[in-house]
Amino acid sequence: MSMNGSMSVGYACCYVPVEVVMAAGFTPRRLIPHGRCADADSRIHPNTCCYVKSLFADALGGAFSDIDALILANSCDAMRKLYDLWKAYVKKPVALFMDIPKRRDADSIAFFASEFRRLASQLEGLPGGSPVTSEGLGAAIKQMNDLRSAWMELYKALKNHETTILGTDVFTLMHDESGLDPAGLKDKITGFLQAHTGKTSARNGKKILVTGNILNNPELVFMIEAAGGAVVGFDTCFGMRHYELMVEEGTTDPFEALAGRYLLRPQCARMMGIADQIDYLQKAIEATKADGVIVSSVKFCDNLTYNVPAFQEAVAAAGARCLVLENDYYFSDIEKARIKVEAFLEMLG
Amino acid sequence: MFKDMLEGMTQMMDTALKDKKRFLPLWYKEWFGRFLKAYEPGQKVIYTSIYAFPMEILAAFDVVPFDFEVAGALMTSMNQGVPLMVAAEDRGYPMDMCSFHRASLGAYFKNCFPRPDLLTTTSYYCDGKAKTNDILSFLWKTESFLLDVPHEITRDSLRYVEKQLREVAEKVGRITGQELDIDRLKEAVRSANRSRRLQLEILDLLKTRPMPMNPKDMIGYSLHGNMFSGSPVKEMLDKQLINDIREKISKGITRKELHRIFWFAWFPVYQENVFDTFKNHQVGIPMCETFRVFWDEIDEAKPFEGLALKCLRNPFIGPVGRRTGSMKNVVEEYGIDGALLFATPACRHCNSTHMLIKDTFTELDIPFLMLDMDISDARGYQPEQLKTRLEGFIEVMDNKSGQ
Repeated sequence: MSMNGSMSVGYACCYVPVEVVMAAGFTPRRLIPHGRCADADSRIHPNTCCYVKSLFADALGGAFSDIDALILANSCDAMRKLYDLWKAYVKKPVALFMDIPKRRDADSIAFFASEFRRLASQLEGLPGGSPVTSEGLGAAIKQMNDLRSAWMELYKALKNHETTILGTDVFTLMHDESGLDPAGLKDKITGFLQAHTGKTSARNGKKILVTGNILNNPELVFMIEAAGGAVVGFDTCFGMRHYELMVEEGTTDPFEALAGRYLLRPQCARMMGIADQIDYLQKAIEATKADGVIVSSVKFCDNLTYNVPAFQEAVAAAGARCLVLENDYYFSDIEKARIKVEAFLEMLG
Repeated sequence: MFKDMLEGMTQMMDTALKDKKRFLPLWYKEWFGRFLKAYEPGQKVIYTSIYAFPMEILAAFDVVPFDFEVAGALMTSMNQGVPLMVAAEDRGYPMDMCSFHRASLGAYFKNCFPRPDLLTTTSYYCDGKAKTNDILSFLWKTESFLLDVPHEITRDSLRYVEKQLREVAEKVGRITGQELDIDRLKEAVRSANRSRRLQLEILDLLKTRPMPMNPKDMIGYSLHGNMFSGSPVKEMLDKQLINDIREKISKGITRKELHRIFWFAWFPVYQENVFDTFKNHQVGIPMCETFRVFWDEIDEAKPFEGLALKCLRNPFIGPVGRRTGSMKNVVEEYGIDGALLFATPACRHCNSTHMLIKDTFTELDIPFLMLDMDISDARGYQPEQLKTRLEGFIEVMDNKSGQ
């Protein structure tokens, strides 16, 4: 059950089409776990991604009793295996599985659309689920596109060196996705933007683009800004790439339109095509005029880990400097990270 | 460097084969020969995953398949792996990454492997292989192709994989300048079907007590033998293996075998004491996960669809039940007393569900050991600790059987 009393369905990857969840009558809820990885170690190999372990630890501890179902996707090896473990050791809330292609061509989009249809029929069959109609999907697509537009406005504002908006504000809003429904979140972002319209502030610090996979601990963003840096963008699981690219509205096949948007939006590291991922990163550096890039990399995420050396070279080629902060999802060694961030900002001059 | 090693090893195999045709030197000779061919001028070299990719498609073209993981493993087996890994680590690839992939990237930086004309791999077994393939494609500035195989078998997923197989055949055709000869593909499929029958015969022979095949060779061949799938070489090797096993059985093996274990996943490719420890304690390993026949015969009239189904049925895709299913039968048929999961630290897809594998054997009242040990990086190898763990496991089996 979500905070507004409607039935809710959790998800743990930004390739999950929240529009389908909404059209089936549920409130989508992005899961941001807080469980201790060690609590999952008795059931999952310790060398598994800390985000997946934290999610599993929370589930084993009954933390998700307030959601009605969960969608686990074939995001990566660890997440796929979590589905097996969930079925064996967690059971409630019920987990649904959705595949995600690693390619981005017409055949992949067609297959992804078929997965969305399969997901829709599974959601319809859940207690409280309602039939997913073209009208319902159309309305959800519109609502999410509105939310995406609001986010993109916010990210555009964050790039501006004279804005009064701080990275910490944006980070807090990003995490509101776990508790607010899309309409509520959109209103909050719009209100926030309006409150800052017309106000200027000289952010003299070095511009920092934060990239990586999932980033949970706000302290990293606080410390960058406390040390005099100006966060100008988030290219993380919750960040810009999660909101870029609209779903085409009013098409004859909304599933196909959704699949196209989710596969063609800026890629996560799980997708094939490192050249495109590098290109996106370099364009983000150019667009934000970033002086430095901080890569936040959750340990044992192979998809990002394998990319990091190429990313470091790409950042240098784009004229910026790079700091990689490998972390255990909670940033439990945050004080070590603080020293590195402070030294990095000092190095940037 | 790799090429020189292969040439030396091939000569050794020729010598070993002088007096008598035997499976092991034959396999190695073919294997090394195939890798060596990739260095010949004018050859079209296709990087691939020989243990997962439907090799029957490549067998329908005049190309040389080259698996950078297996090539890296070969170098490791000849004590050349660590310098390759260091070359990758020096460029920022951390030790948390699979050592196979570090070695492969290091081999690129040290210019050890032949230039590919196309890089293909599958979305299974692991994210790491697909990523490494992607990175190598980027570094070589050469086209790559990922065969994306979904988790579940549905009409849509079958169609999706089938279309990709047609696409890759077209791509290989373009690179080689040959159009796909459908009759040649059908013959590759027929050959793979004959091989499948031979493999079933081998699996039947492996039920013999004591085990009639060296376990490390068995696991190795179960993975690497696929390099020849769809070609007469695979059939020839399978037949020779059957002959060798039969000969060994007919001679009557007197060695005592106290326990028999089932082996999950991969195996260490450097010099280690695992297999010797088992041998010294009279523990046999008659069967392994990667040798099981999980696919049906392929309908040669529909080769792409049949191969797509074979890919989709791979036990390393889909629910873990595909790995643990029918274990009760395996235990009974092979007289299994214990199960071992070889867990190289970076193998997320294989290790994450170790508890579910353990649960399966707990239900069958069979002791289970997860053997944490790197597959290729010998720098952390601790023989005595390992021996203690293995002996503890053997003791559990001893106690259970009242030995």
